[in-house]
Amino acid sequence: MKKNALHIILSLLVILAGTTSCLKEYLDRAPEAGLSDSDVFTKYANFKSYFYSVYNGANFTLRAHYPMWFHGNNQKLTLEALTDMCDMSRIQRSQPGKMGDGSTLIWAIGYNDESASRTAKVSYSWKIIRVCNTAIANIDRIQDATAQEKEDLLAQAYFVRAYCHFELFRLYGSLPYVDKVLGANDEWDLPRLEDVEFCKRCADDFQTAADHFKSAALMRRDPVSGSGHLAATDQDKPNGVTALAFKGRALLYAASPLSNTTNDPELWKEAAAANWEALNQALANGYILLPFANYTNNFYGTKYTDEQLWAYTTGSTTNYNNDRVQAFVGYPFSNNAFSSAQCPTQNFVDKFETKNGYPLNTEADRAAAVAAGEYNEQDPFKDRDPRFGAVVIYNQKDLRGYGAASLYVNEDGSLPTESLLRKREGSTDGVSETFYYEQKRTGNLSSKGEQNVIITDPIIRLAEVYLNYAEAVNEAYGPSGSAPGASLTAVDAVNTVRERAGMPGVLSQFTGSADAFRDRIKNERAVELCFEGYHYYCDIRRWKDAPAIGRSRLYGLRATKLSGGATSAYPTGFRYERFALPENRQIAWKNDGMYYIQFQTSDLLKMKNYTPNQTW
Amino acid sequence: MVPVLLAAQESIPVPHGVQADSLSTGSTIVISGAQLEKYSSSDVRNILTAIAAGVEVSERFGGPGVSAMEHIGQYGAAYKTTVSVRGKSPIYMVDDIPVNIDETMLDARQIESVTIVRDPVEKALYGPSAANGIIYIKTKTGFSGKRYLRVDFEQGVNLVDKFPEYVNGADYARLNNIARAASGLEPLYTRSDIYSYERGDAYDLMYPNVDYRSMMLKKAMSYTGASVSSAGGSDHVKYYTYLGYTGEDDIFKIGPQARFDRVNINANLSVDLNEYVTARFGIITAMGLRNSPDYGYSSDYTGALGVTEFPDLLNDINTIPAISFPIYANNDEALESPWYAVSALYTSNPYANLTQNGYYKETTRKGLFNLALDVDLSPILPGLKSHTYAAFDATNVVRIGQEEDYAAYIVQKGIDEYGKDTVIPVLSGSHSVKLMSADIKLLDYFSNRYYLVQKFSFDRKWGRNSLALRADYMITKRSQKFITEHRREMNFGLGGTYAYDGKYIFQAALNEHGTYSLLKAWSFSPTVGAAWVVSKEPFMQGSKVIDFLKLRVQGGLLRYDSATSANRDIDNYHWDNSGQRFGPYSSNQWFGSAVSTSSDRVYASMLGNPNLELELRKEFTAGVDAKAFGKRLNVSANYYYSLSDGIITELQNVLPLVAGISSGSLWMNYNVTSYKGAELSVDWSDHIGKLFYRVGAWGATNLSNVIKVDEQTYADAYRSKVGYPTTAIWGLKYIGQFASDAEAAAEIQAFDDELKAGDFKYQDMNGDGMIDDSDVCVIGDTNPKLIYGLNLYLKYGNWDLTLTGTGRAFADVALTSSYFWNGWGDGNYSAYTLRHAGDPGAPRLTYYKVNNNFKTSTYWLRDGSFFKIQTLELGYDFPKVRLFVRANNLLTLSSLPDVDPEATSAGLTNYPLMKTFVGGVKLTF
Repeated sequence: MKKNALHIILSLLVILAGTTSCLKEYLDRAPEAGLSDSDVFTKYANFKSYFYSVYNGANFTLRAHYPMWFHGNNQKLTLEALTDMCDMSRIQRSQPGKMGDGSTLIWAIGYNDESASRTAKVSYSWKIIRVCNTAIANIDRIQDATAQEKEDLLAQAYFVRAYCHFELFRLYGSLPYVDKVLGANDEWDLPRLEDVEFCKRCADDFQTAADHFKSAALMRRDPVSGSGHLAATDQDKPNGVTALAFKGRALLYAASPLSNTTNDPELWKEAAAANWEALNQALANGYILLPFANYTNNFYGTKYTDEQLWAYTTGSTTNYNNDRVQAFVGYPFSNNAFSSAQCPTQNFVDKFETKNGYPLNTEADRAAAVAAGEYNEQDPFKDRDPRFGAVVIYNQKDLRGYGAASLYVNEDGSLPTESLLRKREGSTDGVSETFYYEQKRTGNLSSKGEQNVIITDPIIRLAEVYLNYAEAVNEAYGPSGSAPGASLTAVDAVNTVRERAGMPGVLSQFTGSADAFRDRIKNERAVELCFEGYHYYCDIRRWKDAPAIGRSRLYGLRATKLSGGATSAYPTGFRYERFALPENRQIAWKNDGMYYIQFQTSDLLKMKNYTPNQTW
Repeated sequence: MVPVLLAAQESIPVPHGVQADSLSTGSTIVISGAQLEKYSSSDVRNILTAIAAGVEVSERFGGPGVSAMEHIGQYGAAYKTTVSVRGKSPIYMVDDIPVNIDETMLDARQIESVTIVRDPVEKALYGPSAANGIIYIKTKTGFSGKRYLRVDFEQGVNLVDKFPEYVNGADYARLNNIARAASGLEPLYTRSDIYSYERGDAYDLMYPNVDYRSMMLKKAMSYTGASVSSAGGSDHVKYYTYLGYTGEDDIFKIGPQARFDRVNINANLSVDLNEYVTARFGIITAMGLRNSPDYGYSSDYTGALGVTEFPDLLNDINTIPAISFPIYANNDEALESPWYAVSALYTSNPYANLTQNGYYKETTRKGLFNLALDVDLSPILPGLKSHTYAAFDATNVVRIGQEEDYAAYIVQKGIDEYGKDTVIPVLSGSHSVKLMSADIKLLDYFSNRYYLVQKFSFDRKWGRNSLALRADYMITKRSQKFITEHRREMNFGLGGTYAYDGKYIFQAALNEHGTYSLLKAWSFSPTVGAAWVVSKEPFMQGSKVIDFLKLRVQGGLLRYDSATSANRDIDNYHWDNSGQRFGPYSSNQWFGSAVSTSSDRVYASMLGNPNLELELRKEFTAGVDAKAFGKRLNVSANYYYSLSDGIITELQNVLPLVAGISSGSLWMNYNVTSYKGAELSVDWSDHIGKLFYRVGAWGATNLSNVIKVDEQTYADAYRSKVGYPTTAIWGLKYIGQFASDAEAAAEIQAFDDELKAGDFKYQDMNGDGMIDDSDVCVIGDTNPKLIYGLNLYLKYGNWDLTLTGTGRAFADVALTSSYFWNGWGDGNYSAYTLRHAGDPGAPRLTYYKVNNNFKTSTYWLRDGSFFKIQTLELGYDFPKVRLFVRANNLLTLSSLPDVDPEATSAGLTNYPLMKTFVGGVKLTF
């Protein structure tokens, strides 16, 4: 009996053992219709498609950080419009933010909805960073790529990771630096780093990216000599020089007063060295400042130029009143009632010196210029920095198709027939309040009948590197100093940029001390880099100039056509008067929370270790 | 035959065999016999209504037949009946194989018994898919003895019960005028217009007033049930055969034929091959045929795939105001084909949709085959038995039909040559004539399942000890249209019961389960139970009151597998070539032209969580069974607690953005919910002279509590779901109406531009001075704190009477459906809105909707309690013949207006519930 039982149990065990051996197989899943982990990461083409989703993702895109993409979003919100630089012709999302209502900006800038046609900078960035970290972690699994192809991918992954972190930093301040793929069970409640440390982490990643780009022989993607110049297939992707230039930018931010709270000179020295390296490499790789005749090619008319270290071209626009140019092209040019143009303020126009280098920023500056015979308030556009004409549309400017731009009122207050200030009756069409329009980004879209214009966003260009270098050297070594091993002084660097525009060197009374020269550097940056890359928005914050600017008044310049024609007092036949913009178009600095944009509360509440930004 | 309401059998039928009741430590319920045949319905789930203690059967809507698409929710299918046990949806097993009950077209008369398995030790043996409980249906089998032949026939009628109504054309015009006036608009309808509408002429070209409901729908539909069955056998061969028919009419008055017919064939055979080996073979088949009009037209036939046409029809006739258009745009009798009228806003004519859009026939074929081999291994080891069971279950649904369409015209008012008002029919683009010559296949659905069991059992008694052991191995595979992976799982179960002297019982069940759906494929479920039969103790022997008393307790760790989806544990990537274009291709694109057009991309569509495992259930039950007063009183009481720990949850709200994950692409064992409750059932049977009577009652309560849930982190604690039942109703707290326009204007609120006197005031929960969605808090609970059933059985001579009722108490219901919320713009008005228009407390009737008044709030909260008489049957037994009359869903007591408290959307989004009256005869030879 017992023997039988034993038999039974044994045979049962045999059956079970037999079944168990095929158990695993029975429960195995068949390959799904999608791609498996190894399909994606072992094949170069798939890996590249996966990583390139950072540029072109299903529900996120790196382009949210490209200034023009962001500004072109139909929120009609530009960051320059949050400063004293310009006034949006329609009061929409920009103006409440400008006056200190931070809540209107939270969603529009950082969070928006999950679709790649929007600009949710915060939510996209973290997803992009995750893709970068995944790519970095899996790069060695690729089986069929050349060493160069792998190096390129790795370099881009480091670059994009740093770029996303840094772009968020510019708007939100420091964050956690996420350099690994956060798993389901990892701690995601990460604290924010100190500003300087955060910028240095970005700089380290930019340097790593540059090293890998160098290994991939991709200091630039379009060899200067030979065919395909400026037309590489991946021209819209960053390269080694881009990475070095961004490293310089990141260290400049680290050294700036808002982050560098102890005013540590070492930080300025590091920034100077990094920017010298970037400048050196850029020049060595054939990047140049374009002749001034071709200056606007950096912004429109040509896909890419040798001045752009990294740029994104939209190609030619065929629809000049498209939704997405509404933040650039005003109603009179687009005939699109929703358009809201960036209209320069008089405050900004005053930053353009006279052609002989006399500043006009203050009442005293202007009085001095008038005394020197350099400036006449009643003929204000004559003999100005040549860049003024390239950037601003002003009264009587020769506009293709329009002739002299009609930006004036008649003496009886009426508008001339083809006025660029005319709205349709009862409408909120976006026409200028300041009597100026901006032309730098839209170029010939402001010409009558012109609908095919190539627009390019120079995400970083060589002129900025000169200015970054100049600023860092001025702080670290003074106006006449230079970075160790460098052949350019701070003044030389600034003058190089001015010289290209046909401007004389900075007048000697401003180059005597770092303090005196600092103001001219700031002015130079505002003029050279205006309306691109929201440099000005970030610069006045990192310099901690924003509170004072936020408490200033904004002005326009009314032009009135005199029925009596030109007189000696009014040599142009127009009377020009500064006037304060209406109260609802002014700027306000409510508190120091306004240095940074606020985070979304629902996201913040998920974290305990994360210090929120101050509420405006 | 005396119905048995409580588990009082010697042996309880359970999947894969029987269990001795005397050795049970659980509260398994068995219902058998004629009481299962007292609810006339084509939906077998209804047979449990009221008679199974603690089992809540809710009929969601009436209508013929059951759709095999219910459990997958395709084509708008909704559950016709839901059954819940202790707050959860159990699985169904028919003759040992798990089935989808909506695909399994069974007749009540085929069923021998229904067992409700709900305690941890009992459930554990059948693996994680059974953790919500099992409703085990055992069909009838043959027996050794005199054969019988039974013939059943019942014929009846289903009457439409509560059917929420909408207003007629004249009332519509009046209400619309009032609403427009309230919004400062000129009224549209003059007195004489309204007078003309009052004629109620559906064909009047100028003043149509169509009562679609009475034109298109009947108030009754027939029901027929018939069957012939036979069973018997010799010592070694037993057989059972069943042939059944169920037929139900539909409630369409016009249009193509609409009805549901079903034939069930069931046969099983048991043969003793020799002294030790018994082979059994069973086959359960059914064929259902549903004839239906095709309501509505779509060129790609997707319109014809609605599971039933009725919801679409109901939506149209409820939303289209009666005066929108006449039936025909041209009443000329000489026309060969009618010109159906529509309007610019309502582009379909319900009457034409029902009669002119074609038809379909849907055939559902069901086959459930099983083969079992029982081997008595006593020669090897006394008490050892082997049970081998293999089953195959297949369902196929094919729908063929024709989609056709009609020409539709808009009736435009104009002025004729004499300056008089006239009408001109203008062809509408919304419909054009399409006729089809042949039937087309519209739908082909399949589902099948293989199931294999090997079980060894060992029963032994020695002295006062008894021991029962079993080892089960189960393997299943399920495939179905719409799922790409065959669902596979396997179970190793070990169960044991030891009893000493029939007094102390110890039970344990262990299960090792493997699933295809997770990387952590294997999970283990240990459970234990114990019982003490107190009445067998010497100190109880003298009791004259207590006849039997058993205390029992069970507990264990179970796993739960909802078997919904795989591949949540591994990263998933997808490829497409629809990278964001950069050009003016559509309104939502960016400026620029074709610089980067469509581009390839690969993206992560699911971030796999390799740590994912099956949900853990921590369960505990305790109970007492007692019989007293000469076994006339039967009492059973249970307490249970179940903790669902680590429910597999798609995280939407927990991860901060820094994780870099899109919401909803990561699954974790996250949510935690507890359920607890108690059940009590009591019945008393006795006789007074020749009158035998039995009265029974049961009550049950089930309370859920959210312990952890994927939700946003709220600054206001009252917004968190934690600490509330899963069934909580969230809304605003209504605190009255604004007394004046000025008071309303002073309130900042988020829903409307301006409020006026009479609009609703709500409590500002977070004190931010503004009423918005952040003031939403828990205002009620849809879960009845008490569900109960009542049973009465009387027998006097050859007469017998059965009465059962069910009820719910302490439940809230929010009247937020379109029936209660309507009446803005030119939309239709419900009878409810008509009745309350102008009431001081009611929301203002306005042309522009006042959103503020139509928010879920305590204003709309009602008591959801009700009591229903579910069954009333009177029978008379002649020798071999029984005659009976029966009513189901006879009477409803509730405080709810217009709608059925059991299913508040019945008659609004789907068929209304039916009252059923049946007469029948049973012949037994």
